[in-house]
Amino acid sequence: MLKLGIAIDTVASSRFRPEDYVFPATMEEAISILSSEGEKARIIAGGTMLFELAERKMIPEVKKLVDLSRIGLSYVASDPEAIRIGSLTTLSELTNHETIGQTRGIGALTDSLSWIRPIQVKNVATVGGEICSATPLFDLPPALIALNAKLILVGPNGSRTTDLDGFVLDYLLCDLRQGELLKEVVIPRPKKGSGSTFTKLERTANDFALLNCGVALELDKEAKCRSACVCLGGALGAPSRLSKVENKLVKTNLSRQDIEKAAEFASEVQMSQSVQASSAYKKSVAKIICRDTILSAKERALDNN
Amino acid sequence: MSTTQQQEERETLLRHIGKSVTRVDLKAKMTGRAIYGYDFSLPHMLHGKIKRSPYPHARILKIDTEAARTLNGVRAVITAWDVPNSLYGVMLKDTPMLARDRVRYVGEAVAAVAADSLEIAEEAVDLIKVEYAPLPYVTNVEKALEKESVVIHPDLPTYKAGPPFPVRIDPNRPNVGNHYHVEHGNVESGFSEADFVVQNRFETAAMQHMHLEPSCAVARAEPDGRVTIWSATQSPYMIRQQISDIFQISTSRIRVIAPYEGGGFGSRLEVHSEPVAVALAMKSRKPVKVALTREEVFTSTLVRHPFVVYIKDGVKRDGTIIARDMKVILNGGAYSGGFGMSVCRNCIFGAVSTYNIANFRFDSIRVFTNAPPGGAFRGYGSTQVDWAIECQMDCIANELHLDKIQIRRRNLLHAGDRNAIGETMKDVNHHGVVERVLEKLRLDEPRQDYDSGPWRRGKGFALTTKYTTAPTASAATVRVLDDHTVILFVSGTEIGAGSDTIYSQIVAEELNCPVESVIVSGPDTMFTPFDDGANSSRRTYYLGNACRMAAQDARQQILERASRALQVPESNLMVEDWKIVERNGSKSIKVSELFLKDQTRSGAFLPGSGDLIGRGVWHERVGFLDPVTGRCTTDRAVTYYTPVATGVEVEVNEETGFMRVLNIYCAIDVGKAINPLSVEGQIEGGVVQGLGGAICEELILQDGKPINANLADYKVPLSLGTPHVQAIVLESPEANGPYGARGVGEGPITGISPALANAIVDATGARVYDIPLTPEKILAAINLKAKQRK
Amino acid sequence: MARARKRISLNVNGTDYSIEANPYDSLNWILREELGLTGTKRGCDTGGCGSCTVMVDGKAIYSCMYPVVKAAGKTVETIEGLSEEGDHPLQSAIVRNSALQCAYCGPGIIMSAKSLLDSNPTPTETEVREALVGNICRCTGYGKVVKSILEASIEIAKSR
Ligand SMILES: Cc1cc2nc3c(=O)[nH]c(=O)nc-3n(C[C@H](O)[C@H](O)[C@H](O)COP(=O)(O)OP(=O)(O)OC[C@H]3O[C@@H](n4cnc5c(N)ncnc54)[C@H](O)[C@@H]3O)c2cc1C
Ligand code: FES
Ligand code: FES
Repeated sequence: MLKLGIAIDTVASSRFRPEDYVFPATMEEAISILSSEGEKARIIAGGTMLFELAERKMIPEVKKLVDLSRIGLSYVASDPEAIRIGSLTTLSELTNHETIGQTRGIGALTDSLSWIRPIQVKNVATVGGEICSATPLFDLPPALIALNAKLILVGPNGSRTTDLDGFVLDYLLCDLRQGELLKEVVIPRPKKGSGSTFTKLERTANDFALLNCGVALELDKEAKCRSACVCLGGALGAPSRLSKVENKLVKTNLSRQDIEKAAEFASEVQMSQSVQASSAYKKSVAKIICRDTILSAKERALDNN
Repeated sequence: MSTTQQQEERETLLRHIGKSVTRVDLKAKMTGRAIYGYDFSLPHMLHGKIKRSPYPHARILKIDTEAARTLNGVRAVITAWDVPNSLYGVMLKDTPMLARDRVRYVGEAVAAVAADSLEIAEEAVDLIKVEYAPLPYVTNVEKALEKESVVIHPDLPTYKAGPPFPVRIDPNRPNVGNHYHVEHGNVESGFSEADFVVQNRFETAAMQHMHLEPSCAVARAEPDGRVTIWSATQSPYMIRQQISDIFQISTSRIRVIAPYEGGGFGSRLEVHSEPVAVALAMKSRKPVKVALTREEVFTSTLVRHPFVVYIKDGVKRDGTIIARDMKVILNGGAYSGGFGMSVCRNCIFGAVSTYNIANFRFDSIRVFTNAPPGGAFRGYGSTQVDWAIECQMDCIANELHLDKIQIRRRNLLHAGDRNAIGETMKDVNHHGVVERVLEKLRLDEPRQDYDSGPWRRGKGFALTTKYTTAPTASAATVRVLDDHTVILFVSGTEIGAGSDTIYSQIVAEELNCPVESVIVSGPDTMFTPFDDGANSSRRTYYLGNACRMAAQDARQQILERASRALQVPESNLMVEDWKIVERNGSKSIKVSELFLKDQTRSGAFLPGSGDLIGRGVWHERVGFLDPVTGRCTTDRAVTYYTPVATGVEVEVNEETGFMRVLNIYCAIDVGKAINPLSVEGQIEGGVVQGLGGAICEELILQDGKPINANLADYKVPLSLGTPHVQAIVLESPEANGPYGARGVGEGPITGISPALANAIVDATGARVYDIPLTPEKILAAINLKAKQRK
Repeated sequence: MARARKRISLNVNGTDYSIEANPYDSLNWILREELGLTGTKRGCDTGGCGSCTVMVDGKAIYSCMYPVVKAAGKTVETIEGLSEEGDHPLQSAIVRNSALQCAYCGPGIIMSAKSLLDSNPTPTETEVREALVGNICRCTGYGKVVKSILEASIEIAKSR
């Protein structure tokens, strides 16, 4: 488990200036540097989140940056089972990639990309960074969790695959182990009859989520809900699946009433206050954003039948 | 000839005035070649960095600078013990340049370093160790107003007041820094005559100016003891005065040069990092740049005063407001904030200039707290009282089931009326701006709402009046050169308002030459004449008049000399494109021919005077406002009043409280739009800045500490989600304005918040009483309303 | 503290530079303080304001949060490289409409707009507004800026 930053209360004015900055040429080289240097080394992808952490003086122990941008991890590939996204793919590259636009059922992903707006960030920020930043306020994770995305992590002991759901444990804390890096995000190709949507509540058009929500639904032949995945971000330390909501949806006809009833449970989740809003407000609108996202995902699923 | 005919005639004769002349500064700015304060540097310049307080209130026990001093590359370290033990402040001398024994807010400066590089300076600042003993603190303004409150300035009674206006403290309430009272008619008997009493409490939050260029100063101590400062300030002469007060050096020994400024909005009327830069430069004997970070701008410069406004109105059945009792409490933060102190006085003008209320009482109290200091902010107190008053007008209309526009019209002040502070109102075109906004807003149209779903539509309106302060003065000098250019020397910084262009238009108009012939010098207190600064929407009027007079003076001299040279009476001559020609005759002479060249031909001069210099100055005297009675000593307390009407259309989501602003109309009577495109720009920009304060901007304090002092967390309006503001310009001339012009800078910000809140009521029936109007507050109001309906 | 300074080659506005810098110094710092290219502004240092926007290999980025070492071997384009005379359609449209005021946001806005027009020569108003989301303008309310960019796009399209 890697703690990505410490919340410190300091008025230090020194800028973060690492002693060293390296560009490994291969994944193996990167892993070997990361394993040998431990806490002192830190991966940099696009660097946008790292920069924020540095500005807020939250990574005092890091001495060496390991830039992954030259090890060939920037790609989008697809096969009959899945779409594979290299972790160094930038958000712009992903947005503009034709596979992403053409694949049915992954609306939640394209939605979430369009909710991240400043082009100056999207041109630099990477998919891996969105995930490994381990913050509950980012937009890609809830969308990808809804789509049941898997992560391929590579470390000194080889490679492992894990669900994205559960990978982020808490604020700035994720299940990334010593020496490990995220190589690839795998999105299983959605089945026929599935649809997904992502939405976000934000104060202005360039803001972290007050709350966000990713939903994927799969309908059976009778248009009954076969499976549902509902993920809420912005509420707690990590984006979290709302199993009560999901359970209430499954096997229903997904009538407006069914959906409203299920979405009520979203407001039962504990929520933390942020600069965006109080926990009480978040609670009162969680069910609304959940309901609307589910409704939209259902429409898309019907279209995909 | 009728007066309108005369006016039309005059207008058709105007060559540059009223034309959207291309801005003279934009090309330099659009190529990246314009140098702003933040861009400025000098050879061998050191970088300064300030050590700041992490506590909202604490005693300083010890400052250890040893490690910083000995760090390689550090050239100077200063604490309060290295600089003059003096307090500064325009209105109240209460502010130390570096805290001596006590810090009063998070972000206050306690020490500073100058080093060879910013990197070293930052490291050195971290090596300075300060020992504090935290004290109890207070940031809630109504708590701070209590007699038993934590005392922010124990020495307040001994502080010297600055010259401009009296400052009134209160022996019973230790944190009261200023108090004004207005009493007009008899409020009690007014209430006894009323059929209804409507009473409310409104609030505003701390908004930051967020000028895009952070504050910055470069200072150089000259070998002969003089000091030169480069600072993109709104008021070079004010910076000079403050530095003089702090360091006890004569003003003539201080030279302030102002590069282009990336916005100021009131904050940069005050010193920010200038004093520290000067102290470091004196100590290190090298030029020093102290550039604030965005975070420092948020925590350690100024904010717009948060207000609490209590308003109680006695109203007759027909809608006549017969009595009004207002109490406004300003959260002044830890210090006087320079001009911030007089927001306490000037907010009165906002409260007395729109409606005629026979019995009126107003108390405004500025209170010290452990928050960032409140200062001048575009709107200068009007915005906050207008927020309350214009919500209140709608509250009254709703309660009495009267028409919202009608009730405003019924209570309007008219020309010749005496207002509550004893001014005789001149004609203020309120009716005009109301009409023009209503044409767009169409309140008479049936409501266009959605049949289903959570979104509700509403329209809102507000009528406001912005004063321009007085007495102030502006001077201008023009120097006509033999190559047919004219240099205009003014101390008005081009802060973005397009002032350089307007001055050029005026000078070119009077000299009847192309605008391109005019070069505007940047402000430099060594050469450019006095000016009171870019505040209170005053510059087009004051400096405009001064430029006009200076150009007229130069024209007169040209005519006199030409008359002698041509042997034609002056009255028969006219100047046109640098030629003086005989009317109905054939004689002419070029301006260049009035000059003589000497043998070396390295330049030219005028026999008898050397240079051809024209001078102008504009100054208006007004009465003073007595802080105890609220009466003005004459029948004029301000330069003029500018009427503004704002209309908005919104959609509100009843389930989430989210609001979409669909349309904004803002009409303002500018007297004369000297440069119509610039006037539009001021209106559009002012309204949108106001929109930020209305819907999302607030510097939030938690445990006395700002928690959103960065742009990820403090949100301002963006291109997406901000509607195109429809600016409506009216032109009823101001008697003494240049070509009839008045100022336009601030008016547009004053009405947007109440218009939006009123629109939310129109859409949902729910009212929010404090800005910003966040979704959270809107939803809470909607839920409350729903409960009340049950 | 030992900090590796590295020699870094940059191409800015067509000119090759070779500088010594800490690799993690921001591109913004290097442009402004080392190369004297102060046309690129600095307003927050945290990706919050957009005044530092430049193009790297044709893409708009925030130079304040872009390690200079990442720009090595790439082409950097700043406001100074657009047109020294200010006659690029974006520049002239903004000047013609008096679209900006203090204009501290201007260089960043122009670079964002340029990167938009390079990839989408005929944007809609909404697309222009979206492309400017990462650029704060505190003075103007955006209306005239958006209008200018749309006008410039037409002008550029005509000249093609
Ligand atoms: C102005 C601004 C606005 C933003 N708005 C939004 C928004 O609206 N919605 C949103 O979702 N996000 C938003 N973001 C966040 C942005 O998307 C993230 O900063 C970005 O995704 C991080 O990616 P990066 O490549 O820059 O990560 P980096 O900063 O390089 O890295 C972030 C963290 O992840 C680790 N890491 C990165 N890659 C890997 C890997 N392959 N393997 C293991 N660890 C890795 C790093 O060590 C570091 O700890 C915004 C950011 C900014 C600056
Ligand atoms: S300085 Fe880079 S975004 Fe503000
Ligand atoms: S014009 Fe001042 S910030 Fe845009």
